[in-house]
Amino acid sequence: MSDVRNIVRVQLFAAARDIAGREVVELEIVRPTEIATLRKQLLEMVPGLQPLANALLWAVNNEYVRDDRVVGPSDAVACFPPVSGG
Amino acid sequence: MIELTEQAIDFHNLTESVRDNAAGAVVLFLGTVREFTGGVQTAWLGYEAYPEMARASMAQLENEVRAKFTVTKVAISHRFGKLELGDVSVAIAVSSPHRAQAFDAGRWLIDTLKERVPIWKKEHYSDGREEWQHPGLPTETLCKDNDR
Repeated sequence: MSDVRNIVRVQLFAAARDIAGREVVELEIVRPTEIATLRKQLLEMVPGLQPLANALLWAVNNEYVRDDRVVGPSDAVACFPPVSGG
Repeated sequence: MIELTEQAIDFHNLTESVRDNAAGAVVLFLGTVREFTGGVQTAWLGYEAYPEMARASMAQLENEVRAKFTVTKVAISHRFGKLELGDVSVAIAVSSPHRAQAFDAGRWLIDTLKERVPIWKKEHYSDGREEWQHPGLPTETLCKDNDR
């Protein structure tokens, strides 16, 4: 991309994906940003996720992260409700 | 051995893969699709995975179980896609020199997998309703896709 904007692509799964109606949400950031900030941006973009907001889990590069984890455009970010495999 | 597959799990082969002359015990756990949960009838289950992270997460489980228990070999396979009643959704095989460690390691693996590995099941009930299973979330927050 020749565009200078920084985009974080957030992959959604299960009920979060269904509610959003898409598998990926692109969030624009101006500098490396905490998950807590991405969460606010995601909820602004997809208000339907609000009822799940407190339960949503976040992962960066295949590992669970807390709200203070800082991410940039090169990170693989995912957001999803509690897991239920097995 | 770690596997995430859309095909039926070959649990005989999985069990054979952990057999070893150093082991005196082999434990196999199978998770299977149950027809009734709390009186509600399941028609089938849909399993979805975040594949990259699910594989990484299961590999991490194998590392951790080796640190916590005396195990000889470990194999974990989880299926995704559409599963019918009785189908095997997950298989975990553990071998160990002695049975107590094999049982304990197998129990820890399935319990921790269910807490941690990013895989989700969606109930498709016999009355036509469908519902994501997301532990801790009230049902009404999960039903917005029922008309899809």
